[in-house]
Amino acid sequence: MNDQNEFQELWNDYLESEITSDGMIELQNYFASDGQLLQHSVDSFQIHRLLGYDAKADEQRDEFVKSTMAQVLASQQVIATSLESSISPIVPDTGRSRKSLMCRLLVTAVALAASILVALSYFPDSSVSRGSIIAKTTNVHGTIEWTHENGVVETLTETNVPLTGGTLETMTSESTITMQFTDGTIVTLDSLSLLTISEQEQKILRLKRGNLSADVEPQPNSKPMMVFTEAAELRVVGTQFNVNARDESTTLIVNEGEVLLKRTTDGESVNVIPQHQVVASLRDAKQLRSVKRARQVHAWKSDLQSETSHGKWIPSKMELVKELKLAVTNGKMTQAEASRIYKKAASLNDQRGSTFALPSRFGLSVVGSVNQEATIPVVLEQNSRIRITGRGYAATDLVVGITTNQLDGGFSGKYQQQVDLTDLIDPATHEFTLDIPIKTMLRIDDHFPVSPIGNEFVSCWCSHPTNKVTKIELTDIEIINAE
Amino acid sequence: MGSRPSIRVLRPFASSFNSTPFNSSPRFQKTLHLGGNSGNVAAIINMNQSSTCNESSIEEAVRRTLAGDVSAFEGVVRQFERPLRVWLATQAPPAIDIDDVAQRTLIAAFSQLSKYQLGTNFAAWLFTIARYQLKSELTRIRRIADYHTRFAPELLQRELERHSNSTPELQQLRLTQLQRCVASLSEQESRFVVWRYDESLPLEQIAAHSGRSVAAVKKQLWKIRRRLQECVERHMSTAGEVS
Repeated sequence: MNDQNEFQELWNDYLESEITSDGMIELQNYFASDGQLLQHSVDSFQIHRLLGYDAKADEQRDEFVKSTMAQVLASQQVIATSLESSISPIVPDTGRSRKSLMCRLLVTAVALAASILVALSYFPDSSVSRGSIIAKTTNVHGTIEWTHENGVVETLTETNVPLTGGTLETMTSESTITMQFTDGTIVTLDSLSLLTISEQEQKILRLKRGNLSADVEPQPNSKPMMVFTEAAELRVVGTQFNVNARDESTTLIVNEGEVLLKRTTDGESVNVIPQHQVVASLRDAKQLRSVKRARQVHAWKSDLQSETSHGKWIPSKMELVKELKLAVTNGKMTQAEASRIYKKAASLNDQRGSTFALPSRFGLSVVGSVNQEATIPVVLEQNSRIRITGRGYAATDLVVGITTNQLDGGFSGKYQQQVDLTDLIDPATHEFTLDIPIKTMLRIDDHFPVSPIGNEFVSCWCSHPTNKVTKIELTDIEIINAE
Repeated sequence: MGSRPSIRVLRPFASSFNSTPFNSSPRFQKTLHLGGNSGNVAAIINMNQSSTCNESSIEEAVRRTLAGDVSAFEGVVRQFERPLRVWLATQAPPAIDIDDVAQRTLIAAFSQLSKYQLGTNFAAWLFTIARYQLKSELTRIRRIADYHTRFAPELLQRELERHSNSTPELQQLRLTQLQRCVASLSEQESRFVVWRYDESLPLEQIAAHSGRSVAAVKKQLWKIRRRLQECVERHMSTAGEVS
């Protein structure tokens, strides 16, 4: 077969979707070696597309218009609903205004019903729907990046923004977003989390990392809401639960209803009932156990090595190794002396170390969370304090914050306090100790309860808005219960 | 290395396998009453006239939509559905669903309608959104790890992108010229176009209908597309000289 025939065959295979991988490579080679052939192929491609368009244009026109208008109406419906909900609270509570409110609600209800009817008439077959709106934001705080299913990335800053399928990422320690699905199901995504949402016939959530709290309206048994993480998949037909997903393990806490958890490594599953929790790990092949959550405690001391959910844990031994290497390099001690000192200092039980804040385009941050396996909720009281020790390498401001859940419930709120390290850092060692009464911490969003007291402590963060001013390392975090 | 399994590539516009009799095919009927070189100028004049007429009706539809009459937006959708899809058909590389991008464009236009300044150029505003939507879709699709090996030879895609500045009017005109050029094909060539595009017949079936080998059918289709391209270019340059 000569070159021209071979090319024409390959090109047709390409247009007919029948080209092989090897054929594609050959096609590339043809294009690379002959610019004119490439140009002809572009022309041929455009003619091919226009012929294809022209053949189906008439019969597809009405369907296209109907489908587009249905989506326009659906987006209008979400906007109308959100406008109504944002107007309602500012109506004074007088008899007259109540009447006008009733009228407005009636008009809204009629308009919504009409929109739905028209939308339904536009959707004789649900398969024609594209990019439908499945939820809207009901509370947004901090930096949230939203990648639409068409790939457009935008930063979410407002409530009542309609969401189609796509991926949400809470970018900073204080970021959080709550969304409401069209059936009323509410999902809150905590800081530094990554979640993909979709809803075709059933809700599918993929939690790549972080914390998620969900209050799920009853779902059809045949089409339950599914939550996927690296280590587990959850089947939910209506319940309240919290999930924490890390690289290798997932913790599920159920507060109401039941959730079926299946471990991804071996398919073993367990039904988790209220006030119980289970941890599914990629490494652990032991039998899955749903454990009852114990009574509350009011104190907690971090094990940063295992409880750092954002930050880099560096054992003290590493620091010693660095110092010894430097001493050897500078001729201050011999290799043998350095080895002797290291062996003397090293111990298998030595778990000392510190967690360094990680830089990002939003600044430095470090987060410590209560252990995934802990079955006892840490509940904050009036006299609870948070004590943080660490090192800071510049006298600057630091934000200290905490995340809380309702006791036996979902996400509650985030609270923070700004601290000036100027007088708190020891100039010689760079060490500092912060001791902050929990009750003095301020909610970071008006939607959260005024005080975190009475709620469950989930995590603590320290952050600084830039990467250049300082380094932050934490050596300990404690919740203590003392005046 | 053994031969790898063939990869299915998204085939735009190919869904129906109904075998409409050739003479009753919409394309055949459509192309029969077109044709003749005098149509070139008429096509351009007609486009210009209709676009002027439509501008006021589009402005009116936008005004009504902004005033709360959402159904008025259907006028906008109907008016721009065709130019949008034609423009996208020639600009979008394989694997991009042009109807999807067209729809997103119109929905984005609706949600941002308050930003449009009445009395300016709605079509230009809409196509700016379309370019942005197409670019976003391209960005997304490029993130698919094996996109280039499955869907688009990179050089072809780059060349297509180089063409992406062509105006919607130009592509509309190309389509009009293409319809005329199809009408000028011989009956035998027209049959191949109808089988392949109107009826979406697989090449094997076209080969059976025409009594040729599949390889010969591929060669024939290449030649027809080449001839149509030359015809379109010839008519476009004539139209350009006249205008």
